[in-house]
Amino acid sequence: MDASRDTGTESHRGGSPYTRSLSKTITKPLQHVALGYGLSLLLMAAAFGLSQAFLHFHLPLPFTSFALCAIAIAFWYAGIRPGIFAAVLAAVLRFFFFEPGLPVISRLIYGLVFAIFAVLMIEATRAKNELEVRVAERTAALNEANQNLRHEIEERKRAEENLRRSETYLREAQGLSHIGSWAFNATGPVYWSEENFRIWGFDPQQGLPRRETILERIHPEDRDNVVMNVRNAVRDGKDASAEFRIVLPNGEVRYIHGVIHPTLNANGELDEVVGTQIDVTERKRAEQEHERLRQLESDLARVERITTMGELTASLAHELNQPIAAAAVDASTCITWLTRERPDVEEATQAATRIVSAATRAAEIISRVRSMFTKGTTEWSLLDVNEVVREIVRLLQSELMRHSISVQMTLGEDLPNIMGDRVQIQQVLMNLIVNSIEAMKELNGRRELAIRSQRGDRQDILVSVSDTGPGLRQGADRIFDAFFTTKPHGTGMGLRISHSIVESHGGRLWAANNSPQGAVFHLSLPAAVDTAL
Amino acid sequence: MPADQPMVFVVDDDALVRTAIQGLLKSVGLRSEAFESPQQFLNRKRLDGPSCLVLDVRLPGISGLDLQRELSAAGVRIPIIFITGHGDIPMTVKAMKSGAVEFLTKPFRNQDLLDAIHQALDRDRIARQGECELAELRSRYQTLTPREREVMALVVSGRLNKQIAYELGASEVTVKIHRGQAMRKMKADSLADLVGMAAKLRVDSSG
Repeated sequence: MDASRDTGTESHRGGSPYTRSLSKTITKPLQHVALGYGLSLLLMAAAFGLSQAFLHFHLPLPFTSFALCAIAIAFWYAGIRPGIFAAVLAAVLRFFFFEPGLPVISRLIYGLVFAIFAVLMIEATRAKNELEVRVAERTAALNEANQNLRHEIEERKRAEENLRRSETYLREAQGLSHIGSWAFNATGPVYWSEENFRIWGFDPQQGLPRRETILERIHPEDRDNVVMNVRNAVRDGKDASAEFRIVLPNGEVRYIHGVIHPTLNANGELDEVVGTQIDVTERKRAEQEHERLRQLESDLARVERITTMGELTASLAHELNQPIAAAAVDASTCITWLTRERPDVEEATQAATRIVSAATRAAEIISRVRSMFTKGTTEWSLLDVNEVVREIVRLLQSELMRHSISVQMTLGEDLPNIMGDRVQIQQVLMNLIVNSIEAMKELNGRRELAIRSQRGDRQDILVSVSDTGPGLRQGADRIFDAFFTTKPHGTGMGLRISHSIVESHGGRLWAANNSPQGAVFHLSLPAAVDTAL
Repeated sequence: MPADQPMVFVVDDDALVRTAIQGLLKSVGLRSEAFESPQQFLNRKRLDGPSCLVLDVRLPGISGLDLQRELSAAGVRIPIIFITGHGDIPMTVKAMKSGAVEFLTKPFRNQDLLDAIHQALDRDRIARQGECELAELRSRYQTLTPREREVMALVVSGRLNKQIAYELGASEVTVKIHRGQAMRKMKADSLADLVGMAAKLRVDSSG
């Protein structure tokens, strides 16, 4: 209680900092102890003075009343000790200055009045102090609670803000990515996101669409599948997905990719089914376009092959002519052997056998050529690059000879296989070789075609086709452009298509000048990744 | 194998064609040798008997026409029959102009090839015979003395003995003797004969 000098906030008995400082102010309105005693003295002096004045004017003696007031005021404002001091003072004053005629006993009894009053005042003051403390404490507690509440409200507001923002972002995200979310339970749909409404073409103002309405919108061909998927998912409690079409009232068809996830409640029973639906119409269209484009490219490549093969007709005709001519001679010879006076069957048989060889050879040539005319989708398989090179050189043998071009093949050994379409790779090589032939056709000097295959730096195979022609002129980077050609009747598509084929095989095709003269085309293709056999 | 048996050389880069032609030649009893390239053919020794060459025009390396040129430049006059898988008209003309016996396009009829071969072999036989004869004449001519040659040259130009004697500053008798010697050594049956021989030998009054 004597914390009057204690202005700091450290170590005080009990209570929160709030209540502590409050109780201080209330129990000790006066800071100074001296002030308290001084006040008591003053009050008693005033009481004495007043009563003496009354006495002078022959008025009834109210010293006790004044004294009691003074004591009460002292207790109230100065505190318990000064109050006691005032009471003592009063008793002393009364004893000595008033009614001296009375016996000591009665004067002492009067003194007791002050004592009793003082005791009462002590209790009263204490009670008052306690009450004030309690009130202060309560108030402080309430304030604290109020503050906490305010904080909570603020936090809640913030949380609500965040939630609102999240929801907006989510809605935006759904809108941007055309993903709608929804949920339904046994009775029907319970939630549809805004995007879902938009995808299905329903009006959100009309509320959640009914199950029948939803089913109606699904494309009749896909309806059963969707229903079955949902039913199975619900029954098995497993996630499911399906792709289906919906038909909007205006006839527009949309492709939907839907995923559903059944959620279980605490007891493991089916609670709700939540799901997402993505409008993949654009993607589907893009895929279809892509497929169409692939097919067109494939057709174009085929046309290019056919065109090139057309250019090779002369040499192919010559190549086919050889076995036919040989067979014609052998057939006649055979007849000669059989129609003489003494037929020589053995010789005739030999001649006939030669015919068979010739026919086989002709068939081989045809089949080699035929592969170049294939239509249809590409077929990827493991290819031995050297094998493919040899085949294409065989195919073009006639043409090379026709233009007196010598072929130098340096094929690396133990090269890894590549994954690719045989016909397409042959087409690329054919294109490069035919270009080389074209370049050297009119050449006066040495006409040499060199083909080389080896391992590249990384896991790839490098094939180089070089000639001794005029080489690349300026603007060499244009040779891979579509419709660029130096031939008077060229289509200009050959290298463009070759480049495209090589790229789709994950490789590279580029050109450089050969030394001392001519051009060289480099082709790199990645080796097939070895899956465990 | 007798040296004057006819021989047919075949040069074609296609194995089937070579064996077919050789088979055909065998069926008619003709000898043959086949080569894959003109180079291989050139490396082969010359033969004594009549021969001909069946040659594909388009070959890797030097063409058939080039070979024809090379052979004639080397003084080898073997008759050539061209066969080709192409029906190239300018080439046909060129080949025929440079003296080919025949130009056949594949596929050809066996009989056509055989006819051409026989024609070629005959041509070669005649040419060889001519060469033989010429060689014989030459060797006979070698035995003539310079004087006898002089007289022979003037005789075949149509001069009378008298005129020859005057030109050479010798007596007519001497001339007659030389003339007789020349005719004897040359084994000429008559003056006409001698004139023919002289023509073959390209002997004339210019010596």
